[in-house]
Amino acid sequence: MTRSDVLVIVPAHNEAEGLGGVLDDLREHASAYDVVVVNDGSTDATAEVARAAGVPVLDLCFNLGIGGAVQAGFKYAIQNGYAVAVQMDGDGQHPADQIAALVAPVRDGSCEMSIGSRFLGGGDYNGSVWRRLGTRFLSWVCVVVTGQRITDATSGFRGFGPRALRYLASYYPADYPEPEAIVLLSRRGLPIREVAVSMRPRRAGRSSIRGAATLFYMAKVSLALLLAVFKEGPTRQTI
Amino acid sequence: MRPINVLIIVVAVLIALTVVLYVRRWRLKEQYSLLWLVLAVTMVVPAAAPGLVEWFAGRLDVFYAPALLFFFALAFVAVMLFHYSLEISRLSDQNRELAQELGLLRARIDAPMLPAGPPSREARAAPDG
Repeated sequence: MTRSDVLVIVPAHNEAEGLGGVLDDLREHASAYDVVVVNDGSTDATAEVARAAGVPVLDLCFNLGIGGAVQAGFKYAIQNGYAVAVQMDGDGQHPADQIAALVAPVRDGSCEMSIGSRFLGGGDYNGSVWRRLGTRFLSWVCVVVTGQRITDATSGFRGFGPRALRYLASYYPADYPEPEAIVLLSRRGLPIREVAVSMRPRRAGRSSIRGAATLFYMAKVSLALLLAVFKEGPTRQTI
Repeated sequence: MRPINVLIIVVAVLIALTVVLYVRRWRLKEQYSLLWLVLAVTMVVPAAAPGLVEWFAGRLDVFYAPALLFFFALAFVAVMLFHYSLEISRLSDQNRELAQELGLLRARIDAPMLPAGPPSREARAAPDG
């Protein structure tokens, strides 16, 4: 396998069903990039599916949740000298042919984190009304906290530059990290940019957030976002 | 001294002995033992000098003196629980880092052809697609 300086991190928790399709998609439409699957304590054949596809696997011995899994991917990227990393879900929501759009602004230095947004006109998104309202609400909280226009704060389809990688490898929230990462990076002065992407409905598995849990999730994340404003961390100069 | 005061003092002594016993067996860390020993001592003080609570309640304008005891007991429990929250946060952070480190090391063993370090110059120069 040839080495690229871009690593696609695919966190997967019990995604054996959908992961094969994702890895095929990557091989077909994003073959220039290296891939690592982070097997987040799966109890199904997730790791075997990845290994059968010839993709390196980071096995976490128990389930850390999406934050811990993605952070393990960041650490892997740093240890192996990658300059740019892309986070991509293992359930088939994120099309591999959109990765280049996330890499481009990070690569040319115009941002340290690029967020693939469903709401910038890159395609149709048909989530439930509650999901859409929730996403909008969290995006609005991010706008208030960061003073920057964010349309899709919960998107887990993202590109990261070297400074964002170094920072997030040591400071990454555990539970619902996507909106909080926006606030943390913004507070550290690392530029963020949204990129229009299209996403597919989930091929396999169900979202971890649904029903009444949505309200609890939003309260929890909103609090985390406000607290993130006050979190200590390295200044821009030291990152 | 009423029987209840004697009972409280006996319980306090039992708590202190239990703490010492567990530290002796290496099953309780000294830093936690201190907290429990402090509890035992603070139980003995009002039991041995019953007038103390009344006097202190009077100084604070508390009409029902035993409420003061409840207040301090609750405060002690709250401090202890907060202390445990801190410990749990620290332990879960360390736990996460261990799991990640183990995964990274395993991945390195699985792929010995792929040494750690930056990719080659040729790979860097390759266009993305």
